[in-house]
Amino acid sequence: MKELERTKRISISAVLFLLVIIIAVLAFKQPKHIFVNNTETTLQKIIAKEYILTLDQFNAIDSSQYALIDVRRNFEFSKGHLNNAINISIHQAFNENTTEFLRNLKNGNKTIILYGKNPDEANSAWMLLYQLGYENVKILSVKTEFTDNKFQVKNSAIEKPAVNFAQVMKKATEKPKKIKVIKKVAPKKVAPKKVIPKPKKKKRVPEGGC
Amino acid sequence: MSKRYKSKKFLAKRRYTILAITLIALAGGLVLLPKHIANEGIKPELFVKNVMSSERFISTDLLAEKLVNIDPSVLLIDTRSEKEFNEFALPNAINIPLKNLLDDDYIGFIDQDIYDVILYSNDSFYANQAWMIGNRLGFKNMYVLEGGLNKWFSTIINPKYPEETMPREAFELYNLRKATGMFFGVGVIDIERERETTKKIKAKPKPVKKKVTPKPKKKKRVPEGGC
Repeated sequence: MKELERTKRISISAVLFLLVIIIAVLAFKQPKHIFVNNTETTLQKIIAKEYILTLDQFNAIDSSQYALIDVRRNFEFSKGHLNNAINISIHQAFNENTTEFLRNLKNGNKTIILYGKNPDEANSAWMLLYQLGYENVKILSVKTEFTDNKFQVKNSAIEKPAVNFAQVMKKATEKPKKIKVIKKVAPKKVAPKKVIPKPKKKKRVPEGGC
Repeated sequence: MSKRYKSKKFLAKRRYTILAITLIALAGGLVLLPKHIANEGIKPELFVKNVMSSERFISTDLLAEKLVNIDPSVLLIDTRSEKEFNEFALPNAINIPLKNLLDDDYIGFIDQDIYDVILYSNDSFYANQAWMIGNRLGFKNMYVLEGGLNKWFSTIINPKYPEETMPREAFELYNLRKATGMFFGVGVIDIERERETTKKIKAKPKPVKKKVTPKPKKKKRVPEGGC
């Protein structure tokens, strides 16, 4: 009986030991995608604003140094896109092909340039890629549109106030100092009518009579 | 035979030492494993899912409605710089410049689940970035004012008069926006203008007295004839 109890204890502890090892190995398994840069560094990077490219700056770069990625939907992309652009919309970010493609770019030291319908759309993709550890990513600050059967690209300033808010509000809310008195329209002098007197009938000498 | 016996004896004698050495060797092997990088915040897959959905965007009309009703659950946060904030800000907004977003003084405003935090900036670029950082850290109830202040001014403060051919809803929306704009102090000048125009109508030119040209009286004629 005593012997049996001892073996039981040994086997239980052996199983526990194995379990601990298995759990440890499983826990170590890294997820495929992790955020490499933490939020602090991301915030620093955002503020530095070095990741924004205007259209002119973009045109000045040699096309062999970058890979242009269109983050819009496939349908939008098929209507029209910039030259040499590759379509990877954000929901395809974790496809195996995409990961491999991006990794190759990173290893090849190529700049990744993102653009979308507006800078906001590219912004989401940029945030994702930067936090995943792709340092050399830039946003092309353009608005793209497909109108009049043509793919049109316009520069779009980021965070630029459209109007001077303070001034507009001041103008809109201030009370007018004085109500403008509208000049009364002076009535036009009516030219006096010429009166043409009726020619008087000459008194006739009473005729006849008794 | 004796050799085998010897080795068995050696093992029996030193079995603890051997065990200890193997364990130490295994422990040393851990150093060779790749560095484990902790993932701060939510997983990237979830982040992408959140970023793709447009639930975070709040329209200017909805925000205006909330402000007019003085909705107590709204916490407006201005992510622009302090200078811009001092020049103009939405009513009751709190200024948290984007660069100070994660400061200890400010993080309490966005890391909570009592209020609906609505972030805004000139357009939605900064606000969106602030939202994405907050979202990654798992903060809840965060929203972004769609189009930011630029859209606020083009819709609420200075709405565009709909064209004649537009549906009735467009006119209703215009009237609503105009009325909301008045809540934020706009349109006083318009009322005055209206008064002016009404005065204009009232100030009619005084009727001119007509010159009366008296009819020349007929001279009494001497009765003719008669007896």
